[in-house]
Amino acid sequence: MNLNLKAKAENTYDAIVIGSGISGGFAAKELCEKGLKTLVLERGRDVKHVEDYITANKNPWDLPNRGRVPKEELEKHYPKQSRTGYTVKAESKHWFVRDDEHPYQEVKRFDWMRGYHVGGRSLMWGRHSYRWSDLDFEANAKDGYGVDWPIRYKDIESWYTYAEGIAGIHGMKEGMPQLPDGNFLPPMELNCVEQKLRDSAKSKLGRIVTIGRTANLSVAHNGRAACQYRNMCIRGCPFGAYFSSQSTTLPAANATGNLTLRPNSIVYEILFDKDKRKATGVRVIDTVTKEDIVFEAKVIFCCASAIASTSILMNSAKDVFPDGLGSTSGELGHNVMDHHFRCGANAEVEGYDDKYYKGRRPTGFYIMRFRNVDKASERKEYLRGFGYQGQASRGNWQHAVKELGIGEDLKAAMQVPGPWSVGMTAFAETLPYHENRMVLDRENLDQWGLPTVIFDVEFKENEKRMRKDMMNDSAEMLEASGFKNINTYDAQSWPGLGIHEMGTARMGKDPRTSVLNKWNQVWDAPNVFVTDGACMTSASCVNPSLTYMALTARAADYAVSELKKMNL
Amino acid sequence: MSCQADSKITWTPKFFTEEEAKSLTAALDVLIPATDTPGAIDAGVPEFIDLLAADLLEAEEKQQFKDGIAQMDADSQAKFGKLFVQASREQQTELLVGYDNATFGTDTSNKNEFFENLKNTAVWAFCTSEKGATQHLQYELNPGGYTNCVPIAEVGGKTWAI
Repeated sequence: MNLNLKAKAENTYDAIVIGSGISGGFAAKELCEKGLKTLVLERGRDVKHVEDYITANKNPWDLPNRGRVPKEELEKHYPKQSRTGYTVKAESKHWFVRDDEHPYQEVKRFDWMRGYHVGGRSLMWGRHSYRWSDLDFEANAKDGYGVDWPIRYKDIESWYTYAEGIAGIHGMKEGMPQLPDGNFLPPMELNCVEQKLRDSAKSKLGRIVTIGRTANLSVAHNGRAACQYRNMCIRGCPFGAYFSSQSTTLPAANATGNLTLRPNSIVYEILFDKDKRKATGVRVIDTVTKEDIVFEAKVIFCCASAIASTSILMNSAKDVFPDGLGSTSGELGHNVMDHHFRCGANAEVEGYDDKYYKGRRPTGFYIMRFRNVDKASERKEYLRGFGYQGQASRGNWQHAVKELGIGEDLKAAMQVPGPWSVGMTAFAETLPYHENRMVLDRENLDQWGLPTVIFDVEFKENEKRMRKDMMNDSAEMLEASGFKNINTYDAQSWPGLGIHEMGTARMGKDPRTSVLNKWNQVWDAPNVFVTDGACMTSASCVNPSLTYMALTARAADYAVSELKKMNL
Repeated sequence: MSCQADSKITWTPKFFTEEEAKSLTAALDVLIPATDTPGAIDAGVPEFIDLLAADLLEAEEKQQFKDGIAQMDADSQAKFGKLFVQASREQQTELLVGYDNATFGTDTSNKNEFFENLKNTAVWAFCTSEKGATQHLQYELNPGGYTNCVPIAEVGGKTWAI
């Protein structure tokens, strides 16, 4: 590392945002629109909307080896990133880090999926966007795991409405307390088999199957085009038809004239003034020039993703706090959570052989949680619950391989769409366990001389006990719908693989047991806000990104009002 | 139809020998022939499988292709007294139908793993090729909308390539 200790803070801003993904982009938009000169620091390369989506308009035959990546390349560069099975493909591998260049360590298997570039994982995310409910915000208080959330649904409700309006979330209103309805665009349609599942699950079991509420525009919205039903979102959308930092928040921030976006800038330390007890700025390595640069600001939003934000805090103000900024509670880096999944059922479907569709819908169905939601649905075997994501579809030409026939018969078979099938996996809540943690390894350094992350995280008994219901309950719904050849599965789940890592700098009511207060401020440094997954006090079973957006907008609003009151 | 003894290939193989490439091409032509729509050869499937073998396949899979082609020739010799490329179209068809029955029929005790892999790879390569996807099947990069649960005939009458 080329440490220029004389680096002077030539560049002073009102606000610094670390990271440009879902949380960072949202922070940038809010702070810029409220008039703050804002510097966004992104560790990876720049990615320009549309023009840098290099595979977006490739046909299957345009991709090398039709999209398959050679095993040697996977083993050399992507041994961990390829664990998802769906991300390191020719059309999307450039959005994922090379493991050999960005190493981490695992005491137990942990799948840390990352993209280091402007937009972060907002470019490749799954786009499912659900509100939390008080079932989630009250969970820790009720069963005693972790600490109580310092907020309730009423504190965030209007921010959900706001964030949904910006992002553009489509969905069906269901009126269920465990999964509050949102400020929805018109819903994308369930197909006829999914509609059958919905009707049967509701009438026979009282369970709600709804369209997956995703950040895909079912209609044109805020100057962005409607979804073209390509279902190639992971490549980047040339129509800007799903929410990403590039399509939505960064252009809004830029339009104010207050945004400075600086790619190739790794923040490795938040600078802390021990007399004023607040942060003064950040220290950055420019990965192109190798310079070490200081930027100063009145307020800092740490939005680098749960693990990265926590790493930065752990590496900051060590002269004052030996374990880093925000570590006085002893909880920094602890309580790592992710959703466990890859467990459910699938089935074959008869009776719809004459029905087909046109267009590739970029979402499936969602089944909202129905276990442990009230007295009647209580389970003795485990706490909390799970929802399901799945879809029904017709097979393509693949069935022709296994059918007898070559020549004209084989060709004819390819032209007949395959049979209908339906499949789903549960996504389930993980409890916050203090001993599930990440630490920094200060001996094994990365190419920039910075500490690397070691994960020591595991799913425990409560998670394992839940998986029996996750399988059987899905089979029960398929059976209620009259589907055939029902097959249950548990394909195992490892922490990180849900790509919903969170909890390492949790919010709370008490500085002795939490890292952040109810406004996402670090208790030890009130002008530092952490609004990415690190802030989460519990995990819920629903996808978390919409909650990051809402908490970020709420925290930005609070930060600006406190700045105006000269409180920061 | 390129099924005669003097069958030629118009491309230079990267992985297979010239002779292997000719045998492979002849087999693919029988498997997915040109009809009123393009076949495997029109769609570039033989070249694609050669490239796939050169760039992507594991050593074991590569060997399976080579061994399988050799076996196909040996079987053709035993049955018809000539190499696969020299056999008549009817004879080639008879041989591959035999493989297909043994591999995807009710009794798979003599299944031919080379043929299983060949059929699988050929169908995938054909259906995702430009000609296969757009002329034999249907394909749209940007469908532009979602039409759902309608009779197959109303949405083109055949399988979507993707």
